[in-house]
Amino acid sequence: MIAPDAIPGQRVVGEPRRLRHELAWPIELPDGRRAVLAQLVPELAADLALRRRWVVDMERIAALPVARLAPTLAIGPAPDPRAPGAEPPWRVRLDPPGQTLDARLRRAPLPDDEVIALAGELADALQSLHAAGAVLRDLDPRAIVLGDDGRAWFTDIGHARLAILSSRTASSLLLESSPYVAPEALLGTVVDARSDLYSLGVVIWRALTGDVPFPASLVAARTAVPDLAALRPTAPPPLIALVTRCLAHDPEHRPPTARDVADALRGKAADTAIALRRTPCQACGAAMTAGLRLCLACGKQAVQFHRTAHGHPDGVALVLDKASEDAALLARLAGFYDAVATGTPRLNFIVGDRRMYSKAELAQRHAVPAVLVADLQPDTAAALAERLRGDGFQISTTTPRAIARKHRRATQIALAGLAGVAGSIVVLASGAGTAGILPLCVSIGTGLFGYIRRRRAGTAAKRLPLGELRPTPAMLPAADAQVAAVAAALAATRSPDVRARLEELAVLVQRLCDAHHGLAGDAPDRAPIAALVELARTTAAAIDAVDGQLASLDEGVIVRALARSEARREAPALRADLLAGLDTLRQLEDQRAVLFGRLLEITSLARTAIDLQLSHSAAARTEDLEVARAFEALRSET
Amino acid sequence: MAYRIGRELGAGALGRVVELIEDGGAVWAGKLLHDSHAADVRAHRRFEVEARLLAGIDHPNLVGVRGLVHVDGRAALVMELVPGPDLGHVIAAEAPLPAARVIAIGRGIAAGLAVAHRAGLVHRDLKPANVLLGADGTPKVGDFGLARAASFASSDPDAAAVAGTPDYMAPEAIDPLAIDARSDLYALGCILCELATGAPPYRGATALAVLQAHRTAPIPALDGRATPPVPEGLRRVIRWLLAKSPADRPQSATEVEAALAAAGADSPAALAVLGDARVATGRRCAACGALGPEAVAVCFACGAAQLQIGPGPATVFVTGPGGIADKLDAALRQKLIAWLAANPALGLAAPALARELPRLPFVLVTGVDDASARALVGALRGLGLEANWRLGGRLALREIRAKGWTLSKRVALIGVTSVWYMFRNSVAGAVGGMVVIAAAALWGGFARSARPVGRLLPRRSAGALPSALDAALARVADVVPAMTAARHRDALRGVVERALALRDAVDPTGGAAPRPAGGAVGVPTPRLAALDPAGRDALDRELAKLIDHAALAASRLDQLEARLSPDDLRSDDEARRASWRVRDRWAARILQVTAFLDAMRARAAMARARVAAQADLDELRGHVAALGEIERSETGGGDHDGFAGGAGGSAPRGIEAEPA
Repeated sequence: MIAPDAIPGQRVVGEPRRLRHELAWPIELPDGRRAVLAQLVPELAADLALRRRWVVDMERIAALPVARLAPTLAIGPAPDPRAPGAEPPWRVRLDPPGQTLDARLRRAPLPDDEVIALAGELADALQSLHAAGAVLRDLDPRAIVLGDDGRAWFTDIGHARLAILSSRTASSLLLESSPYVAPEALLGTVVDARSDLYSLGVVIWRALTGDVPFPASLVAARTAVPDLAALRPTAPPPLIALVTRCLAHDPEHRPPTARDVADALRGKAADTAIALRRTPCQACGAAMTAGLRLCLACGKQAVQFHRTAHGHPDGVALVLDKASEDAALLARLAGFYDAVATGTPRLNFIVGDRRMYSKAELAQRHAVPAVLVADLQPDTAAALAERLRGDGFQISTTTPRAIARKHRRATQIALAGLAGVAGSIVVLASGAGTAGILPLCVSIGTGLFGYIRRRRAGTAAKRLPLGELRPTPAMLPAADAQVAAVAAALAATRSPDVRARLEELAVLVQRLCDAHHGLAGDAPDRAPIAALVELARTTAAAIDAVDGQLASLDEGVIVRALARSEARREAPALRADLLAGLDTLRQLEDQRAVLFGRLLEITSLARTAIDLQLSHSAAARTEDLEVARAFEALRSET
Repeated sequence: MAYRIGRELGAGALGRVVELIEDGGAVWAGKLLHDSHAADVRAHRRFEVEARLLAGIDHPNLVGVRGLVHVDGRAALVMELVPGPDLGHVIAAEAPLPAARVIAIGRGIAAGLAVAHRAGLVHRDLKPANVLLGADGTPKVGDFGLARAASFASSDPDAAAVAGTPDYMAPEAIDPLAIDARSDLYALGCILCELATGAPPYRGATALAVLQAHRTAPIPALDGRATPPVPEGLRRVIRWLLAKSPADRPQSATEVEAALAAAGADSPAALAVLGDARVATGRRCAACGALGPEAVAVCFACGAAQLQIGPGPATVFVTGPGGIADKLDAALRQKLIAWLAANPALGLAAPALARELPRLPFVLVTGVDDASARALVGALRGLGLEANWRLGGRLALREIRAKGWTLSKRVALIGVTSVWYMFRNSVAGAVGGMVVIAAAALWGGFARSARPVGRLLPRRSAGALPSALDAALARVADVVPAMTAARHRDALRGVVERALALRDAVDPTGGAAPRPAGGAVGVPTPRLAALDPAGRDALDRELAKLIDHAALAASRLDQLEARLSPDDLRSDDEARRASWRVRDRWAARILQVTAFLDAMRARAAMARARVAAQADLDELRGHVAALGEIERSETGGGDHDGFAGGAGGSAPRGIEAEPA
């Protein structure tokens, strides 16, 4: 193979090496700098679709305004590298002095501080790349050079998409699966920046342990992440937690942006892990993000059951009057707690004679009647009691006020009895004969009756509820303009990943609303958040539009149509549309990655902004209070 | 003989095809590896090795290979020049094709594959682009084994890589060791699907997504809802070829050709011979949920021995967590109930558990054998319960007796306190009451509370198999858990299921209670009464022997492969490749037997009433004897040498007579 004459005065200084789809020659430029001349291998260049894809991707990489990218000096041959029949296209990129990340990691495991420095450097480099709108898809340590100054350079990136197309056009017989590629990137073409964070996690893992978490395999699931703490016990726990989060199978559970990773590595950011717990909607039962109040499946408020303040005298408690050990019944009770409460308690009741239980068991098990939930508003209590009765439970309701009233009455009865006894004794002592016996007995009976009732009411008052209802929203969510805006954006969006972002934004905005209402008169400035919400809405709409276009373009179908056109020996002009379609497909994928990256940034920013505002307004409130106190003190002194 | 290179005819992933013009003027096609592979010496060596294997096989449905020559200093494979376009072009330009043409092309490819497979060659990359059409439209399969010449030099050493074309790759193709003739048949199924509907069976966003679909997506129905409708016969053949497990596909290309011929005839009688996608029936594995034949106490999918509770003298107790006489935690009971419901194969029912929380420790089941008791205890511990077992009855555990005393005391206390008030005035009454209470307490404490919670369900008799067959199946259950590769277990399942199905077919008594244990293919097995009792016994004996041999062969193959590494497959070392071919030959023997069982079934289906039973039986004996060779070669010439010795003389040994 002879190197193409790319740059006048170039000098080839080594043997060509095949790297993926290219043959690469190390060359020396006339000014003495080292560079790499990489040429698409001829048999792939013969495929017009592949040739175009290579040129398009390489030109895009060359145009990226990223400082950490080894600059592309030239792409050829002139005039049009895409032209069929021309010599295979090539590119020349500068070779930054340093060693590849792969070579560095072969000396692994590295010490903790070096790992953190390396990871921070890579996260910064990724962030600059993502900010420019590029997603690596396969962060390969062989294509990253650690410069002598410790900075990371990307050298040969952007080949992953070409590999997918080449296996489709059958120009390549090789199917590969790299251990650095995120699971969703192995199986799909539409990916976002979080795929690169997975790869980053694998690199850090390798730096810590000397090996990758999932050894190479083509299709094995990468769901069960091994325990890093066991492999490297000395590593700092926050680092372990961060790496494990990066390796999450679901991108939603990874850190949202490379900046978050970098901040976490430098100890700047608080834990940004938002537990995306799913709970059923209380109105329709559809699964939704915990914390959201407006159910998007039924359009109703997801939290329909309302509490009163803790210990409120009119807060209704639901009391289970009779327990049973029937498995089906207990399972239904557990289901009830799952649907409406913050957690499911252990449902072990004392059934039958108490004397059949040991002391330890009596302490652990719940006595019947048992309070299921307390502090409910009356209509909520009625609805829940209705639901439980429908499930076959014996339910009664009570309130602290009612119990107190009973307690009071019982006390009065007991006192009346006591008074009666005293009176009867006086009468007997005064020598009234046997006539005093009957009142005495009646009084003793009344006193005992009152005493027992009083004790029972006392126990009832001390009974703790088994579970607690999920918190109630502070306000009607849709009444707030920003919540309504997010809800509207959500209703219009179909893609699950975009929905997840918007749902997170909705939860954040709700938090802000709640704080707003809690701090009447001291409202945080919500204009920046409003701008963010508006931006999120337009971005989501744009992604939806891109998704619509992407759905109509199937790479496999286009490739097959190209083959059909060639087989029918149709004029090349007819294929131009199809080739343009492939280019469009690629552009749309990039565009989606850019837009989605923006959405990730928006939610990340919103979280930071809201955190800041809330902590600020809370601090301001304490300060105000202190000032007021100081002022009071000053006034009282004078 | 000197050649010169003429014009270029085409190019593929590995190399380009050019005209080679011989001195005399004869024109051949020549395949040259791409220059970019030039640096990969190993790829070149493999190309040359595979090329030599191809030479000398002559069949109208195969592209003739003349040999390897060097032109201008480069190795070129000299092949017959086929004028027509390749099938890829035909598909691109004309698909979907009418069924008759699809069947004709399919039969041609199958006939070619049959010849090559008999010679021990597997194509490995069968796809439309590798099937050329002759001047009269005859399909000719080319490029056998050349996928092995793919260069892995450019791939990341840390990455997993496999050579192939995703649209036509069999589910097992991700493991280079698992590829055999049936992988080619799967590819043929994909090609037929593409010919008939215009699109390959599965789609995906990336190559790996397509591969994933091959492994897990349901087989396309081809009934006209998603694709153009395909006639019934062809549809069944395609779906049969697309079976996920090689053991469920037709076992040989000859079988496929016959099936396609039957599909072409399109008469109900011909259709009866056809297989279809496997409808799995039988017993569900407690560990992985896969279905398998009920008569074998092991799961072929995961290799787990099936927890089968047998009768015996042992008793299983649940002892915790919790103190003596405490009630079981409701959540744990829920887990236990769910586990029992998920494992109906256990044959253990515990309705009392759902009604009442038992006090610890309690008897889960009594009267089981110690092996199942041990297994049960292991499973219960896995659920988070504490469990134990004892030989003996329900009071064999000390803690049970302790619980009995505790409960008796509590009952007695309750009784005494209530009786005391009632019989305060009468000493005799009190004494009588005490006696009654003591009796009640003891009964409650021991008899009632030590009652087993669960009981064994009466086991459905698995269609009383003759003892020889039963013993063979028991030996299968012994070997399978030790086998590491799922595909060998699966191959064994194929043999066992087919053997049982065949036995059902000739057993007139088996007809009363149709047993779904067989059903390797989803066709109702025709019932035959042609074999006399003596013939039936002979068949049973042969089938038992067959299952025995197959189990031994499969487990030996498994051990042999565990010793060889997949890297050896890419190796160009002749000795290693030869030992692979030995392994291939033994695998082929198992395959032949499986295919023969299919053929017997098909013949039985065709004859319906009468079957040429004796001739079949004789042929079966021959196959069994051939498979039995594996035993003799192992015991005779030493373990590994037995295989290697066979490698030296590459001609397969003939079928020997069964020793008396």
